[in-house]
Amino acid sequence: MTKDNDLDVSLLANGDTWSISGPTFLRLFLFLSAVAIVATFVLRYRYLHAEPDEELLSKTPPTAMQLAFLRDASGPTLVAMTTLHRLGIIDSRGFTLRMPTAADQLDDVTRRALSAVQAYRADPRPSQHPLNGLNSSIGDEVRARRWMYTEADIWRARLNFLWPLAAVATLGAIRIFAGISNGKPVSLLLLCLALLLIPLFFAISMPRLTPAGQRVLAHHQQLYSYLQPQNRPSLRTYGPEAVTFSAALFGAGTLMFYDPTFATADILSAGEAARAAARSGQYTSNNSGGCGSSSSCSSSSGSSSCGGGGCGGGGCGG
Amino acid sequence: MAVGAAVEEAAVARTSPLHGVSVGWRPEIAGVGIGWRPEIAGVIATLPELSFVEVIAESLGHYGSFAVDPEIAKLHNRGIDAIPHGIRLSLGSATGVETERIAHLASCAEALNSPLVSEHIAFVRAGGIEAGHLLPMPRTREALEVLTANIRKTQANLPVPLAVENVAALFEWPDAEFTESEFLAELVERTGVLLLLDVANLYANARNCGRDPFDELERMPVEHVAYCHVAGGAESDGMYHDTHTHPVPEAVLDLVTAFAEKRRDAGLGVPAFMLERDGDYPPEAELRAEYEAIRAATTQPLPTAAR
Repeated sequence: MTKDNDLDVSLLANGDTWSISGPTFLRLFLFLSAVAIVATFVLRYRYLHAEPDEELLSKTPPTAMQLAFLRDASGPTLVAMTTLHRLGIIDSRGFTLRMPTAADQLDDVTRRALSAVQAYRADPRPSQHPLNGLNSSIGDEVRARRWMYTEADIWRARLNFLWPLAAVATLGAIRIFAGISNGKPVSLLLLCLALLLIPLFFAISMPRLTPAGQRVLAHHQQLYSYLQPQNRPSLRTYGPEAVTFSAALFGAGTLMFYDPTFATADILSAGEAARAAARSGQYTSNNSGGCGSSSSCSSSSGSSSCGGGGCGGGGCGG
Repeated sequence: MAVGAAVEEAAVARTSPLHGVSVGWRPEIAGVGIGWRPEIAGVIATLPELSFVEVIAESLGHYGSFAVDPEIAKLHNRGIDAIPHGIRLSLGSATGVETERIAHLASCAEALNSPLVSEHIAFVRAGGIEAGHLLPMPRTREALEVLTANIRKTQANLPVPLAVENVAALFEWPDAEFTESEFLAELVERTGVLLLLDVANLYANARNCGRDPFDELERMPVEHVAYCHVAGGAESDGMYHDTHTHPVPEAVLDLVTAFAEKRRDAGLGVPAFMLERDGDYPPEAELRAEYEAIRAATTQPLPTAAR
């Protein structure tokens, strides 16, 4: 037996899996895990913040419905009901006042919102609530414009940035199987592998919107920032369509200045929609509209004199 | 012209002993502006040839915290001046002006890089009670002393000149020792303060007291006017109310024209005018028409019938 053969025999006798001792492999695995975590999040950041294709931004301008859907999945329903109310087709509580005519030029989503509101008014079961996910083609439209990810996009994207973590996890898993086969303890490595699930959980989540979608929404929210509810926009000044556009871009907050009864009606109620969702299990949106994030929902609908500062001008002597 | 120039020359030469801003230094504001209100920010942003906006100072956060609305910041970035306009300093309070309130005005001016700040010749609190209203000052020597001290203290703590505004009043305090124009002239003489002439207030006061607004305008120390307010009002129970929620009457626009002419005749140039609208905002077209009417009133000759 040669000297080399003696060494092989000693290693085999030692029984280290892949000839690497457990502690050494653990240190190596931890180092590779750290590198993989950093690499995954760097790749993810670069993927999700990539400069959008100019062509995706400069095509036909988005419709109010599309912007509403980008902001919130239930946005188109909110826009549709606001339009129905503005046109005098439904009253402030969602009861039908008249049937729409061709002159109203209602789109498909608005027509279906009217049917949903009528159905809910006839049979107000939570599962009938209009905000419980009105099937519409708006999602398909924005996905076709690559402003939202399709399921295929999401998995393709994940492959783009999850591979370092996946590679290290695979290595760990193989070592565990080898270790078990070799009769070696693997509990520490198993724990390390389990801990990798934490960054994986964060890395696997995807935003609703693509960088182009985020850019389109942010651009229009910036362009029409004066319609934000906190500005208490004068709808008489901006015209009736402003309320629809404000609802599309910023949620239902501005409706408080337009018609508080309508804004707080159960057909738009976030609470009602959420309760309905909990009961029916049909509600899939992450935000139900309602008052949304606006801080103005509880404020007075009356216009302030003197620029909101109390007294400084009209009738105050200033 | 000679009188105006002489007064201005004297003012330039005079520097306040209390602060670093030359009393006679006249800020460069001209053209037509508007009172910035968030409710109509979208229209304001698209007004043609907008020279400046006036922002309620107390709407820019509270003492210790400061926030410039992004819509104002956008205008500022376009080179449109923003003038902080205080409404709660209470320059007429016998107990003096609060240092924190002056500091807030100063912060507004610095944050907005404003050419000047403005306040009212009025008091809003007394004896620990907040009136919630701009109350007119008695036109007495005693009141003048109070105003002078408060204005000097304010000027001393501001990085930019101060302009003070004549307020509208539905009544007059008894025992007045000055007419309104004499009172303002004396105030200017004592403090070197600039004037923010509210043309609508001048009209309201003259009309409610049975005086001729053109005569009142004639007696105003026009050479010290930094800029002017123009607002709408309405008559109710025989009194004219400066509501800021109604259209600007033709009579007020005639005063704008008369004042612009007077300043031109004095060789001082047309001062800056601005529209104040504080509620019941009209449709965009009407708002634009009001703004355009002020622009037109500053350039066209006064109709003979109005003289």
